[in-house]
Amino acid sequence: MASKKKVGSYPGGMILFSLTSALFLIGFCGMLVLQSKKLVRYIRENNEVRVFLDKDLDAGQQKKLYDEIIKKPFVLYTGTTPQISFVSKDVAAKEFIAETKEDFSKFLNENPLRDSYRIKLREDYFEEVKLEEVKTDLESVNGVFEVVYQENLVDNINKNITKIYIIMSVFAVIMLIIIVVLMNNTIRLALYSQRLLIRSMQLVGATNGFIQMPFLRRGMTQGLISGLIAAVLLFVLLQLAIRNIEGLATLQEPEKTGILLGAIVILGIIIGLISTFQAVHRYLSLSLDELY
Amino acid sequence: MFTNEPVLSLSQADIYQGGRIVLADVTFDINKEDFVFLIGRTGSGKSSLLKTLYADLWLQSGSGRVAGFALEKLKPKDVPYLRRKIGIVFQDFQLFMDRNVEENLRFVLKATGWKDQTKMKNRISEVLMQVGLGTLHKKMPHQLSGGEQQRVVVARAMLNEPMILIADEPTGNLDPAVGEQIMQVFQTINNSGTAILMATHNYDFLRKYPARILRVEDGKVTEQGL
Repeated sequence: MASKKKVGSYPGGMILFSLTSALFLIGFCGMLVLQSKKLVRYIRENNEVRVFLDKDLDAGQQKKLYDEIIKKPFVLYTGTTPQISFVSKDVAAKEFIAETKEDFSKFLNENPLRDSYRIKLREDYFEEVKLEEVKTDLESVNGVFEVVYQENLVDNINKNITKIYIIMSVFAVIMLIIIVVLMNNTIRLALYSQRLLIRSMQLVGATNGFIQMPFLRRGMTQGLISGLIAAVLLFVLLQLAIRNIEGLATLQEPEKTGILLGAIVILGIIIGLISTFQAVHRYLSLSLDELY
Repeated sequence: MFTNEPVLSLSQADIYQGGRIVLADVTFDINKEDFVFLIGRTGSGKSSLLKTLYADLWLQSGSGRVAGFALEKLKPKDVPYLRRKIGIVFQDFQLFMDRNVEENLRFVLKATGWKDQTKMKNRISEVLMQVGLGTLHKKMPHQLSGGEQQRVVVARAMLNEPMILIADEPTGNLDPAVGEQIMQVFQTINNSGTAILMATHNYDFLRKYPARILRVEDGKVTEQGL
C-alpha cells in the first residue's frame, strides 16, 4: 500500500544538504573570525613601541621617567603589572650583535646604542594615527630621545583583516540567499503537489495555522539536523587543524567556540523556520485558482 | 438558542468571477430545514454563486449572511470558521485514497480542531450511520462503490454539524440509481433539520423531490415554482 501523503512532507534531501553546506560555511567563516581575532590580538599586544632614552640619564631619572610612562593610558597592563621592560644599552648591543652577526665593538670604542624602554600597548591603540599620537606624547617627555615603532605593519594588518571580514560576510549572505530561494522553490513544489489535500483542508475549515504547522515543524527539524551536522563537522575540522597546524592550539578559546557551534545550530533552526514560514504563508495567501 | 433568522441570505449581491460580474442583484433567503435546488446551464454562474457563499470568492457588493457570518465584512481569518458551519459537497472534492473511511473523517475532525479521541470516534460513527454506511469504517475508498464514496463525502461534510449543506453537482458522476440513493441521503439530512442548497442538472430530481428552485439565467437568480 502506498504511504500516506502527509501534509508538509516534501523531498528534504537537497534542502538538508544545502542548508548544512551553508551553515558549515557560515560557521567556518565564524571560526576564521574567532581565530583571526585572537591572532590579531596576540600580534597587537606583542607589538612594542621602543622609547630610547637620553644618554646622560642616571638611575633616579630613569625611574622617574618609568613612573611617568606607566601612567599613560595606552600602556598595556597584565593584572596590575605594566607591560614595560627596560633594555640597557649593553643588552641592546648583545641583541644587535646576535641578530646582525656584526660585532661593532671591534671597530668602535664605545657602545653607540642607548638605554630604552619597550612598551606594549593596549589593543585599541593599534592604529597608525593613534600610534603617531603615542609617539608624539612620549617624545614630549623629558629624558626621551626618540620613539620608534614599526610603521605600516599596523595599517596593513588592519586593511587585510577588514578585507577578509568583508569577503566572508558577502559569502555568508550569498549562501543565506541561496538557501532561502531553494527552500522557497522546494516548498512551492510541495504545496503544488499537495494542493488537493490543502484545498480539502481549507474547504472543511482548517485554519492556515493548522495547514502551516507540519511544514514549519519539518522546516525547523531540517534546520536543527543541518545545524547539528554542520556543528559536528566544524568541530572535527577544528580538531584536525589544531593537531596539524603548529601554534593554533594557543589561539583556542573553547567557550567562544562552543557559543559559535551553538549559534550555528540555532541559526539552522531559525533559517529553517523563517524560510518555511515565508514560503508557506506566501502560497497559502493565493486563491485556490492561483494555486492551481 | 432558537431563532427564525435565515441560515443563508443574500441581498442585492453582485457575484464576481475574476473581476467580471457574472450575476447581478441576487436576493434570496434559505431558512433552516429548506431544501433548495439551484439550476441553470453550464457557465451560468451557479458555481461562482456557491463559491461566494463559502467564501472562495469575496462578496464585493451587496450584502450576505451565511450561518451567522456577514459575507461583506468577512476577514480571511474568519473563513475557516464560516466553512465549519457549512458542509460542502461537490464532484472534485474527493476522498483521500491512501487512507480508510475512518481516517478520512478523522483527518477532517483534526483539521477543524477536534482533540478528544472518544468524541471523534463517536462523531464518525454517527455521521456514517446517518448516511447508511455504519459498517464501513475500515474500508479503503477504492473498495467502495461510487455511491458509497459519495456518501462518505456527504458524511464528511456533516461532521461539524453544519447549518447548511452546499452541494455542487453531487450526483454528476453517478448513475441514476445511485444518484437517487444520494438524493435520499440528502432528504434524510434535510429532515433532521439541516438546510440544503444543491446545484444540479438532473431535472428528474425536481419532479421526484419537490422543493424550492432557484434558477440561474442571463446573469440573474430567480425563484421558480414547479
